[in-house]
Amino acid sequence: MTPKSMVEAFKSKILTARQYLPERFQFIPIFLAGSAITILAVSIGAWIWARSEGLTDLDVSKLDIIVNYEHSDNSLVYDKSGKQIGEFFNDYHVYYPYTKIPPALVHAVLSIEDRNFFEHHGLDYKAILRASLALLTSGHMKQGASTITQQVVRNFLLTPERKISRKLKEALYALQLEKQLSKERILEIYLNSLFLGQGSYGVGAAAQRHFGKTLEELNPGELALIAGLFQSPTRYNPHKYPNRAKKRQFMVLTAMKANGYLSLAEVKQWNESPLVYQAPASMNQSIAPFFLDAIQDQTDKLLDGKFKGKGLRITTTLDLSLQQELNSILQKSNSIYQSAAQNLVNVKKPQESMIEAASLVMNHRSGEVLAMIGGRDFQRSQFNRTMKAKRAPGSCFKPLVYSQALMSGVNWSDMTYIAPVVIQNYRPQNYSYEFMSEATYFNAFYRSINTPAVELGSRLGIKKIIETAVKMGVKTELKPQAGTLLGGSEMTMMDLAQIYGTIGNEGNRPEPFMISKITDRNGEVLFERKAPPVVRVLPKVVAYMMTGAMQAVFRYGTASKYPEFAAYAAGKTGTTNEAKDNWFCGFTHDITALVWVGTDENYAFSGQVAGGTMALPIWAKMMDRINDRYPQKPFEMPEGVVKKRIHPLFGFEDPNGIEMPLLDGRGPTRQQSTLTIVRDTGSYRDALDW
Amino acid sequence: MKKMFLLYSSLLALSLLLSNSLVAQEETGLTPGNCKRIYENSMQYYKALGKFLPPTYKFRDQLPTHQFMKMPDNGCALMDTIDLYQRVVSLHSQKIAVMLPFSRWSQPMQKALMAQVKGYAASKGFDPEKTIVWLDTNGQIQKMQEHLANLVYTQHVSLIIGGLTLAEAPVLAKWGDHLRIPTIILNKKLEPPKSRYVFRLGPDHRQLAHALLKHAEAQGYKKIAVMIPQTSRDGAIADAMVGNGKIEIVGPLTYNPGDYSSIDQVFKRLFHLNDDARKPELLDLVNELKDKSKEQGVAFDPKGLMLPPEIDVDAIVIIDHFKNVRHLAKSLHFYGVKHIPLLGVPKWRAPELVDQEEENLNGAVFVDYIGSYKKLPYGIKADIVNDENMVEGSEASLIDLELVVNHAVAAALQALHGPRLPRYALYKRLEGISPEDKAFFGNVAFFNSDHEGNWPNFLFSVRGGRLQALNRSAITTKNPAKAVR
Repeated sequence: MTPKSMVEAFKSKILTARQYLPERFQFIPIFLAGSAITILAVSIGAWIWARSEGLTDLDVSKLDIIVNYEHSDNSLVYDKSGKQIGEFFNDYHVYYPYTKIPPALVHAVLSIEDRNFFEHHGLDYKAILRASLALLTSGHMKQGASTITQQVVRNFLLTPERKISRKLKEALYALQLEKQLSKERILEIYLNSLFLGQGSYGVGAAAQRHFGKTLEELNPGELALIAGLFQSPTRYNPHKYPNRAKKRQFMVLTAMKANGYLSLAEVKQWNESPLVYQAPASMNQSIAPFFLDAIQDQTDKLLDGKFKGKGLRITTTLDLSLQQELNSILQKSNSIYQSAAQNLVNVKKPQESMIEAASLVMNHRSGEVLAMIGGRDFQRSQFNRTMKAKRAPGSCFKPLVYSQALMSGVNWSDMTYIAPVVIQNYRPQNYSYEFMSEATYFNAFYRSINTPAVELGSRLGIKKIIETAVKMGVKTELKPQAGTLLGGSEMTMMDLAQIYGTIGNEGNRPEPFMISKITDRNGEVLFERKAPPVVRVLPKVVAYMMTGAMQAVFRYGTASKYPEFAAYAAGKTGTTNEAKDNWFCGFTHDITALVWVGTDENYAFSGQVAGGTMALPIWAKMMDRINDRYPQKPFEMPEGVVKKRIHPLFGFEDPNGIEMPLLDGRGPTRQQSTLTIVRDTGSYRDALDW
Repeated sequence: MKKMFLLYSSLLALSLLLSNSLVAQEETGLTPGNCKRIYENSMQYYKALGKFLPPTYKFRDQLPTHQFMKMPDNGCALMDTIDLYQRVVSLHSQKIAVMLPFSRWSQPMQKALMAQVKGYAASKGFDPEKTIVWLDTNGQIQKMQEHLANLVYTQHVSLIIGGLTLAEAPVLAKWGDHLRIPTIILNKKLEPPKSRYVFRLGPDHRQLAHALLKHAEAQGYKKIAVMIPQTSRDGAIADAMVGNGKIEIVGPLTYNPGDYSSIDQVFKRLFHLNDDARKPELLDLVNELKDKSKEQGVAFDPKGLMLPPEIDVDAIVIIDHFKNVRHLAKSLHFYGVKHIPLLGVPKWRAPELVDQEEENLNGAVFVDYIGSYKKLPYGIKADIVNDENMVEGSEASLIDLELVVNHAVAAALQALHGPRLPRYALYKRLEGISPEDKAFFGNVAFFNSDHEGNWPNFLFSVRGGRLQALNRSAITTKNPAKAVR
């Protein structure tokens, strides 16, 4: 039978049936047949469409994303005592379990978004009807009918496109989701996961980002504002559109009243209560931004970059209070920066802001980095000058040279004639162009005279000194050239901390670290630092003798403006050519602290600019604060060292001399020097010369 | 008191009588014929010296010197002038006067010097308290002349030792000559005395220079540079070298030890480190170092650049003390100079010259007027450092003084020894006597025919952180200058 013959047969049957009906009802079969055909056709069409849109075989497993939802969380960073110092996030989250969400917020959200939430099973038919009627009467969509469940589904699974198929999917998934999750859980996910403006996701984050408060701190008016953001966080962003946001808040308050959550008086009260928005003050940028930057890098390395949004709990070595005090000192040292700016050379418009400063504080006993200031203004420049800037350390390098010398048998009381020197065509100058004078190495060190250090270094071998630097933990490759002996080879502040830390740590290399522990948000330990084996670089006696000389820097030398530190601190000034870098590096029994002042552009300075005038005053203020928190202890003299009074210039044993730490049995044998005669009389052996 | 004075006068008179009047007449040469000349040359000086006596000084007619003061200007016309003159120049008390600038030295040094000399005098049988009169001139001519007047008019000393300072020395020499009092001058720089009564004793700059030049000659040096500080008291050594006529001298090149730039100039001049004059060479050097820096991957630093030295002297004499010498020797490296022979002076000699090795000082030679500190004459003891050639610097000056003063006192005591002679005739004795300590002074007389003291010189070489006494065979090693780059 052909289709044509089939149609003909159908027509004949219908016509045959019509013959039995009254005339006026003869249209019914035709109508019924037509309707059936239409319904069939529509059904087939709808089925085909539904199939093509994937509605017929809805993948319910997709709901697992919601069912097994794990809230995103910021990684929180804590200082050594557990105080939060920062957080890492891509999207800003502050997770609140349902039980901790203020009821007023729940009321507000339900009132404005889905007042029948706890009654429906995913779809609010009444709302759909209301919306349909509104659509029919007004010709456009006046009100939404999406339930919270639908919004969750849309947010997690669907695209925001405006298509009927998407709407149907949303409805179908919503119905399915309601079967799998409790209402409270759905609401919890909804409240914690949706974008609410200013980078915030969830109500907890929104409270922080819009009001700078925790959720618990918000009043009903503020909560109403947050509830109003769900519809369109961008449109109602209170920071950008405060009027719109205010109107939206009023809508929420009104809806709450309509739902019996607020009285009229309360609506009025919260409507009239002013909203004070607070741009989020980023903790990351205010306390220890450079430190946090470094922590982020290190965490990334430790966990192979798999930590974003995972809500890590990172315990660091930072001493928050100390960091804050040091921040304050560095910020308040404007007079130093101004003075430095006035002495800039070849700079057309010298400005105080051109002067940069950085500081690093480490506990050399434990290796903990306690404070880190990588620059004066993180917002102006995020370059971390403690870890990334490679600068010439100048005379701050000398302790390394002298440590090597002491190891090779040089004694502090050994004397040197200060004459110009040349090593591999390198002809260094002394800071005050001092020649034709004499000094013990002790004196030459604390006065920071260059030529004796170069001579010693050259005698000992530059390579050997570089090897010791590497053993101490210096990571930057040092140039094997004579200029390195005077700190001409660039290195990081962290490298310098290794050198000073090694000496301060009685010759054992400190292993600096900034992260002590990382757990996930459930407390599972992902990383925990274990103390590495002790590496001795300098003999204890050498470290002690070196410390003694650095104490003398305060007592008699380039830091003698601060003699009070000599009792418990040791340090060294460093000034490079044209004062481009100005350093002070020092330590106490437990703490190593370093300060640098200069410019990123390597500008030269004139006048009195030097490590002793720029970096040292800052260091001294810092050390006062450090001492408040880490009490002073004397350096303990090891066996094998004796202290003797020695003439500082001529190196003989002299009751009126200065105390020097010497290897036991290796001190000077003479009690006088002919040089004193020359110094006192200007001549020698001249009794017959009149 | 009066009795004492009478006794003293009687003793003087007796001694005068005992003295050989013939000798006296011959030596004083005062005859009626030449009275006027001598009176003018000598007697007026006695009168002039009298003016340095204090205003309250009371003259007593019993003493010839006092009578002499009253002589009229035309004294030669008087009969007893000759006799009185002979009595004046012959009269002496067997005392030695030592006039030194004591107050310029520390108290311990003064005491040590006097104790040492007194000890020696006592060891020779003299009562040092009675024999030696110590006087402090403070280096002032006026004071010295006041003391001299007292010594001549009151003490009637036999010999005078003094003139240590360059200011005092010629004045004292003049007085000694005119007053005909044997006088030993201790100053190193005084020209050889041209008086039969005046002697010069002690180390001599000319002799030191001569010893160095002799050494240089033995080494075959043809041209040597002489460096000396601007305010040196040893300029006479440099002068003596410049005028030697055998070896070409560059300099004296003077510098200010307190200003390194002046030393820098001297070295640059000496080693022809003149960038303008050697421009092509400098440019070559710049290019060479640029290439080298590139090879090594380091920045080229023009500040470190210096032309190589051109060394055209065989040695450098540094007339300075050990401290500056150490600095200068070390500084030579800065100019690329190594192993150039360095020659020096007694002020080099200190433990600090050698207590740390300095390449440029190794082989350096210096001259001194003292040999081994262990073999010092007159019982002088030294606080030896390390070996016999070194003494603590604080003692060096004292030992120098003790040696010279003691040597002068020893000469004076020897002159007084034996039959008594009139004072003016004591110079004869001085001309003929020799030191007892031949080991130190050699087999020579105290003075040569020019009345210059025969003082030995000793050469020392710096070797391996020690001083080595050189003998002729030891100083023949040549140590040529070498430039390093």
